[in-house]
Amino acid sequence: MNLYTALLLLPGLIVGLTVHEAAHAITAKWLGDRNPERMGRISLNPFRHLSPLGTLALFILGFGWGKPVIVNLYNFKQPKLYYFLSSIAGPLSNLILSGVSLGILYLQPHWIVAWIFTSMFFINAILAVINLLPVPPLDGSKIWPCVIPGMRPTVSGKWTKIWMVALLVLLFSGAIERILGPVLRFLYSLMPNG
Amino acid sequence: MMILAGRIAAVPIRMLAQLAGLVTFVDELPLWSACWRLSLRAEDGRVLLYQVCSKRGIMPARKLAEEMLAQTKDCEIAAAIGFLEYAVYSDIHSVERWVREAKDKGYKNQELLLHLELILSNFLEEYNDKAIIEEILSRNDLAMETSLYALIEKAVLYLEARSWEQAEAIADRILGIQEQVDAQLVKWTVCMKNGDHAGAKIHFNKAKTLLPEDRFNIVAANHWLVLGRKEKAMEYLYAGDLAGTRIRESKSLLGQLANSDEFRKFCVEKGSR
Repeated sequence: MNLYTALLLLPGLIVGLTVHEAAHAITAKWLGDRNPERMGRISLNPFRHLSPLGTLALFILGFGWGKPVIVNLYNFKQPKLYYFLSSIAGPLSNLILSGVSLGILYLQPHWIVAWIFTSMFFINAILAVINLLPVPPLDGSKIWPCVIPGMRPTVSGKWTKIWMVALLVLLFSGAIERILGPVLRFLYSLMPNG
Repeated sequence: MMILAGRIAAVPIRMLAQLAGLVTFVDELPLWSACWRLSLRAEDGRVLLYQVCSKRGIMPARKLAEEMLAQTKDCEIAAAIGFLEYAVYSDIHSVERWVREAKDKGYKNQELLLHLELILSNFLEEYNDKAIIEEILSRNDLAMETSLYALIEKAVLYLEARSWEQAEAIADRILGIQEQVDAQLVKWTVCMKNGDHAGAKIHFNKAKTLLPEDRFNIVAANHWLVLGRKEKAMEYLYAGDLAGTRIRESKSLLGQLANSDEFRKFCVEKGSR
């Protein structure tokens, strides 16, 4: 990814990741776990949420992630359901942000505003889609075990390593591009001048 | 204003330190040190303490922890150095000193000491395990490891009190969330007590895969003791890692057994140890 594209994506990345991680923390608090709040994660300060590796990955690989919000499942009355809700809150917040950004783009704003919201529209949609992949550290690795009957909501360390290898295979085999390609084409078709 | 400027300046250094941690050819310690000096945040201090302890040993880590505590007055630092004293050096008395100092001086975030206090309750009379467990379980802002540890200790207390159903309920709650050796052994104990040997075997075999053998044997010994099978408990105790788990210093029933003449005699019969 070149510097121009990286700068183009920067506002969307900062807002997207910050809102995404804050959404996890706020939902966890609503559902009874105040551990993320104690760790300062109920905040819209980007520095509390950006992960160096996840940010770097976005510029190199075209997708990224924030610093994970650590929840305490023992604070949830219904651990599997509440963990699912707190995990899906991140991608859901990105989907909402992406929709709102698209709506603003249809209002034909000033080019600076259009640049910010174009970036927010794309990055948030990509964040929502990529985070549904069942690969740690992405949210999908927490979401899918919660909806599969008989599976525990937490993935053991052994499985995490296996999934990390799967993520690397996805990256280097170009499979991620095959997932993102149709998503990007669809997003372009939604743009006002798409 | 100076604090805010320091915190902002620390941000890129923290990012560099985290990235340096991903590769082997860059020493991240100076970066974490710079990050801590700029931000003076307990969170950065904790990471620096782990780095110093792993690369330079406990003595410089202790000195640094004292300096950090004076600056931050935050129990997060006392908890971090306390965990290092316990996990790396199994030094119960040093752990106790850090906890006591942080409490006596009224440092903030005292709830972060509860995990260490529960560990101490296994060794020292002045720490009441039941009260600490209840305090941990009544809170909803602690780390998952702390809640888990309190639940396991509570389940074991139930087993010792022959409250099998309550112990099993806790084990089921834990196993509904994560695979866990102590919870599997609680289930095993309850199955054994109920005469369900097939079920017991499943839980025992699962538990066995979750810990290194010498550590597992110590945990299993405790459960044999709960079942009233002292001979079996001594067998497992004999095969376990007595030094690594500091079981001889523990005030638990297993600790008492490990220090008993009966166990010494058992060891002599089995061979020198």
